[in-house]
Amino acid sequence: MGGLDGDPIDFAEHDAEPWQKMITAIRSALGDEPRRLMRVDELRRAIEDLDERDYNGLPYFERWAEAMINLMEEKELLTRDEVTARMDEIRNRTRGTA
Amino acid sequence: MMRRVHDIGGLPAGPVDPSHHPEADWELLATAVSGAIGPNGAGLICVHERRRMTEDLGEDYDRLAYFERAIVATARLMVEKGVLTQEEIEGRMAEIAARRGNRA
Amino acid sequence: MTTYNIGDRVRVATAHPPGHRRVPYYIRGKTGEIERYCGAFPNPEELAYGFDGHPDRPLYRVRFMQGDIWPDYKGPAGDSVDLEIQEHWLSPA
Repeated sequence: MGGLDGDPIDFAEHDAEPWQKMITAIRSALGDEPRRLMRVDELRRAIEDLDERDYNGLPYFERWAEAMINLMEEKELLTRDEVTARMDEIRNRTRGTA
Repeated sequence: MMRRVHDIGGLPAGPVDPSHHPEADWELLATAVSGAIGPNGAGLICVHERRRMTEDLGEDYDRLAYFERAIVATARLMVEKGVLTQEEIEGRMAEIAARRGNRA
Repeated sequence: MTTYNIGDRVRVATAHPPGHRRVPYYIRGKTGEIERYCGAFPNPEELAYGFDGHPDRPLYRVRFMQGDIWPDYKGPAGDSVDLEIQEHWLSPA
């Protein structure tokens, strides 16, 4: 979108949320040594391949998460159903301890 | 989802009809156009680009016959590369259809 | 000097990236044996998008046993199928 009309940029620093750090950690766990399941170029491509609604509707780290799920499916390592089932499991567990 | 529309190796299917039929004039013309704009002609497209665009036809892939796929894919490549616009292609098709209609 | 020699066991990547890919669905993730080296050729997966496809990629003819590909294969045990596959889809098996 370089060169397109846009609003002013908000330069205010904000601390990364724990879940945002977690997404970054998952990216490292998947992409770095020793696993090397995904390259950063693949992640970028998968982010660019999100449909317009997701790309424009999702914040930065959620795009990463969506793209990583798509990549894991492409490589037959995980299915989206497995990921969402695990999300539900964790959601239920944390709700119980809250 | 993972398997693209052209990639049908191993899927259940009926028997193959190996009989040959002579090509229609428009099929020969489609081949001639491909040759004229290919690497040994104007050098505008290569076979790999046309294969890619054919695979990208999606739902149209199963609806179209072999040479029709090639024609649609080639036209889309010409638009992608900025050689022709969709309007130019459709305008010329309408012109030719009108001319043939007048003669018939 | 090539990465793989005749007789080497190789595995085709289990990957389904979008775009023009020259390895059919049914052979991805399967293991076969190098039958011959065919030479090095521009990468058609790049040529398909108007890039020059260089550097050239080594191309191998890989022999797979039909029984390894189709779970319900009923033909003779020695039946095989050869596919020509470029090196970037292969890893040692």
